[in-house]
Amino acid sequence: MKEDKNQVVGSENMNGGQARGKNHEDLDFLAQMGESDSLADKLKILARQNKLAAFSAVILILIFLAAVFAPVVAPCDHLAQSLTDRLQDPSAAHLLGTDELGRDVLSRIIFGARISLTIGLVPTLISMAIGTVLGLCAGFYGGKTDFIIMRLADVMLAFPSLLLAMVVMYTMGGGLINIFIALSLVNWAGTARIVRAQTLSLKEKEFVEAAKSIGVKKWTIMFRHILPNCLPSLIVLFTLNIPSAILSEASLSFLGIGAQPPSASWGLMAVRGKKYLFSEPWLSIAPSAAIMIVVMAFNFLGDGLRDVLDPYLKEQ
Amino acid sequence: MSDKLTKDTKSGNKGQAEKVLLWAKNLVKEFPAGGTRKNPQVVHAVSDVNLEIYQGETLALVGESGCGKSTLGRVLIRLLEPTAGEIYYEGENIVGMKESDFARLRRQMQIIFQDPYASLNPRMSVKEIIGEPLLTYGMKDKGELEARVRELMREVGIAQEFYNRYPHQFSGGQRQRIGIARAIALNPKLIICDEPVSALDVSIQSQVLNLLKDLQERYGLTYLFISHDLSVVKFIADRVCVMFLGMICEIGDTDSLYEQPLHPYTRFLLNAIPKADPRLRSQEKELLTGEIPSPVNPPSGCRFHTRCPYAKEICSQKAPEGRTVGERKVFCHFPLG
Amino acid sequence: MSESIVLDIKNLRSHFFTAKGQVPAVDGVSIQVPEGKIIGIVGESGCGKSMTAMSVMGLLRYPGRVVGGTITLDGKDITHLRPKEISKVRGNEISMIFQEPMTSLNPVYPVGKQVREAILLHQKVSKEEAKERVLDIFRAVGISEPEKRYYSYPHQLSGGLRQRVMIGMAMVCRPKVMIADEPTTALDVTIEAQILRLMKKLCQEQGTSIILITHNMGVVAEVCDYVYVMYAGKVMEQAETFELFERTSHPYTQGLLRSIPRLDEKAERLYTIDGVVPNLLHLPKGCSFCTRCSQAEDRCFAEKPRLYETSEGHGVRCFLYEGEGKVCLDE
Repeated sequence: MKEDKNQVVGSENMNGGQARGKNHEDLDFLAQMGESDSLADKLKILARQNKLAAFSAVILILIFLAAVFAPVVAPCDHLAQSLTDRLQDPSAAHLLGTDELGRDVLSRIIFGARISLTIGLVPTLISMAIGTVLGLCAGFYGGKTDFIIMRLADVMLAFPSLLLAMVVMYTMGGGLINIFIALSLVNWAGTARIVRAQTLSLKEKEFVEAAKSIGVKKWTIMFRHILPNCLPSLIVLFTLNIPSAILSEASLSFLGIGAQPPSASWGLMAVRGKKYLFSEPWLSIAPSAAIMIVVMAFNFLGDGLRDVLDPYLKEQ
Repeated sequence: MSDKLTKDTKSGNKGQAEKVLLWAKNLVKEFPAGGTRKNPQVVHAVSDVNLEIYQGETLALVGESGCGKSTLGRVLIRLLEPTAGEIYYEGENIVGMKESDFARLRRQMQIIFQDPYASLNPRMSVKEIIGEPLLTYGMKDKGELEARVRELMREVGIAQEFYNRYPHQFSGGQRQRIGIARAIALNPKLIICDEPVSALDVSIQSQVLNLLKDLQERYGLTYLFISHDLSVVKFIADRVCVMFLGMICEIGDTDSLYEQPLHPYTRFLLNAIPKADPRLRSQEKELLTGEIPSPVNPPSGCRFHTRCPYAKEICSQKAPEGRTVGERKVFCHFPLG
Repeated sequence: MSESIVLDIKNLRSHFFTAKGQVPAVDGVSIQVPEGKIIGIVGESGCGKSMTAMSVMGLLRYPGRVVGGTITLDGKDITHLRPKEISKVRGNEISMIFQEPMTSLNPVYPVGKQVREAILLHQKVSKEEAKERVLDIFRAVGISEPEKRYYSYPHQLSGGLRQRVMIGMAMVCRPKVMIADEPTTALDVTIEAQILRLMKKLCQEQGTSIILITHNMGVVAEVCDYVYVMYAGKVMEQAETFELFERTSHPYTQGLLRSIPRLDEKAERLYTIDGVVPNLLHLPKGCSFCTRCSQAEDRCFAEKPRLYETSEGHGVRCFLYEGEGKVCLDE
């Protein structure tokens, strides 16, 4: 009985869906008449329709600029210790107070943005490059290649990635470069899966068949015809992967195997502030808030981009 | 075999001895369709097809969805590998030929697709799309490449200012023209036209059909024209091959086939076309009943017998041999007429 | 026309509000649907034929909206009904079938059940009675082995059978009007002929009026009683079917008919209408067909022609016929 009720609702919804689909078709037709949107147009639509994503983009740009121009923007030297000024409350001189060595917390957060953004960008780029190439090969060649690559990816995804990164870090030691390597090795599998799925559907497209009938080489087909059409998904995936890399770095630093003192990593700052959590809470709250803001901004932006760029990912 | 290669023909409008360009012998194409390992199922897309395409003609491949006409077209130019059978292109068997040897023949056979939206890479500009075949066959010089691309654009009726545009900025008809330009870029001999006008509006359809006809005249192209639209076929084809469920029903020159179909299926197809003349509607026409059988389990004997009103016992037991009636060939135990 | 008019669309205007401007997808369309007749709306893609149907069904969604005109169904104005009210009308008094039946059927339920739900939704009958009704309907739309098909899932049916199911579903409540949007475009010719025959039969036996939306002049000639030819959001020519094919008046209709390859003659070249359908955002100032018309004069580029009635029920939107008749149904 209940099931039947659902079905009624379902079929009504379906009619609605059909209607929307139909409407959409006609809009597509409008698109064909020169109404179509380039990437820039789509970003304009995003800015207009999704205020949250637009706001996030502005925040990220500001943080990025602050990181690049940290020496100019920061009020103090982030490494200058002053034991007389240690553990000060927020004041006009030190907007977010000072830490246990008397360093200005705001300045350290601004400089910390450099580390966090680098950690967010570089390993994500590397891991996505690896994932894209493997995904393309798996999808395009199929058969054994596909089997081996995808089982490898399954293993990667089945393993807790943070644990894996920790193993890598313990064997190779801490430091930025090793964080890059660890995170790159861990995060490619998700990208590979999505690129493979897209390749599978793209390689059945007639324009790929046309390239084959011309006699275009396989690698050229992969990189000229298939890869560019995966690009919207990759952009979205990129913005959504960055925050997880930032979080991983923070976690590793928190566990003491990530960035090493005295570098001003947000994760490291949060862990060093925990001793004073009840007396001087801003020491850990400020860097944690910074992590949260950046991660949320990337996620909002990623969601917004996905909506305008990539209906395919949305369905997933 | 030498007598196979030329044919003194009254069909077509060339009126001279025509050379066989492509000859398919006992061609079979099957696709796996699941099933269990012990009892695997296959789709019988093309079953035992024999076909000749003469140089300079337009041979139409007609049939309903699932009759294997598109698959056959793709197998003939080796976009798909046949399961069994031989294909002779200018006397050379191209089945099983090494890819490196086949490369020189590849450029002589091109294909035009049905869907003008799926057949152009949305991220390549017109110059890149039309230039790709030229680039692939070693036209490195930029000036030469641009000149040839522009010449091809003129050839198919795309305005020169669209040289740098992307596919989404074009209408369906214009896209189809771009696809045609890409197909003729390498001066091929044979072009497979896979439903090239069925996605287009009526007024655009006639433009593209005229273009195809002009290009054929200018370059002496040979077309294999795949279509389900018998009116379009009547306009463009010299000979017609009617297919049903992976097998050929009837093959012959267009005019006589339309005037007097020999295979019952051909007659029903012709009857079913809605004609743009309300005066013809009062003739209560005989319609086919039933649905098209599944190509996974095609009916035994003559595959059409389940829908055929004239079917007798033998039709379900034995596949009909090809009979030659005049210039035409029909695969039916009891041909009409 | 002496028949009673079931559906009366007057001066309907539906626009799309896009980032690049207001798109007049339907621009002043008037259509009358008499009882028990098949009305054809023909035109090329983007001419507004589907949007007209969506407007009538109340299915237009953002960014599209009905901005003017009235739609009267059986004496009742349904132009601006609330969603709840329109859903009572939809399926009950007016229903619609689409080009691709697969997308309108729920893939996870047997088709019989889906049709039964449609019955239960609008009528107070027990489940058993409803099932009997479904089987009756299946027989009426020519589905063989209805008992077996009742439990089939949509993907197990062929395109033709699915379309029969959709027609059955649309006919469940014996609607006054059924709108069929390209119902046979996705089907093979032999199946198309069956479906067209079925629609004609239903129309005659049950008195349902059908609006048949199509791009195929052959389909129109085959089954329609009255035809509206649309172009760029406007009706260009309207006439009773025989009249339209015998005395084709508008240059656009003439062009359309001449550009179809014919079965009864072998042409060396086809007639073509030059150019492409104009962008609805930048329509010509005068007649929307003027840029492609072979008989266009200066005036056609400057002024919009109105729908001139050349003979009883035959309207032509072209200055060539201005002298011949009075202006009929106009904005």
